[in-house]
Amino acid sequence: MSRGSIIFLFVVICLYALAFLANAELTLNALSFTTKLFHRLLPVLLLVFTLIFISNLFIKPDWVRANVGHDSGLRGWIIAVVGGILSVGPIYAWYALLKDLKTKGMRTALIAVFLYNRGIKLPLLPLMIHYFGITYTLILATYMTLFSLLSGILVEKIVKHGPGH
Amino acid sequence: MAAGHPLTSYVLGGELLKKGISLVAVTALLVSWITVGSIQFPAEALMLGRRFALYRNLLCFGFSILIAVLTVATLQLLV
Repeated sequence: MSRGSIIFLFVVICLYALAFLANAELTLNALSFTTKLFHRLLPVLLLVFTLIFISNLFIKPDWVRANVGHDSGLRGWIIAVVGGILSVGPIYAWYALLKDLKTKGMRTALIAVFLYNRGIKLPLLPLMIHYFGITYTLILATYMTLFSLLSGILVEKIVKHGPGH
Repeated sequence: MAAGHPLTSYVLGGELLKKGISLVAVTALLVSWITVGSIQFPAEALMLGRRFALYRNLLCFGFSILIAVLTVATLQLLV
């Protein structure tokens, strides 16, 4: 834990203590809410740890460089697009895994492509079709995929040519 | 850019469409809702880099308008 995070924790505890002295019932309500929130987040945290565990166990840097690295070519783009579309769960669960893959050599553009394609939610497509029609849904999904590739290329260029690079 | 499940954006978009809001505006709402992560920006910046998070979200925001215009134009051509 960094010094900043320890100080932050200490400040939060002090604030709760002061709030308890001012209004015990309200503070207990707030603590109850926080506890419920933590219980809701637990499955997400478990998912994150599981993904990172699997990544460290099976996904080696050589595989990452070959399949989603700078020289992965068309295969890398396809993996990023399909991976993004098929990925489930909240987006912040994937940040830790993507960071891990990035350190192992995943291309910046493909990370952006993956995140963009998370917007195409396969389980929710029937609902979109219900409201907007199948033609609209297909056209929108196609444009989103195409623009995901463009966003990947542009983000990589910007990050690469930024200060400190 | 609003926070919330994408499911909410589909329902909201559908209802707005019924109320007479243009399809371009509704599409832009849908796309920006699901691609721009204003709430998760701090987490993204921490994990993947501030520059990456900032420009990725800015591009997503700009593209949501382009995608909306192109989608509706293409739909009108085909239907």
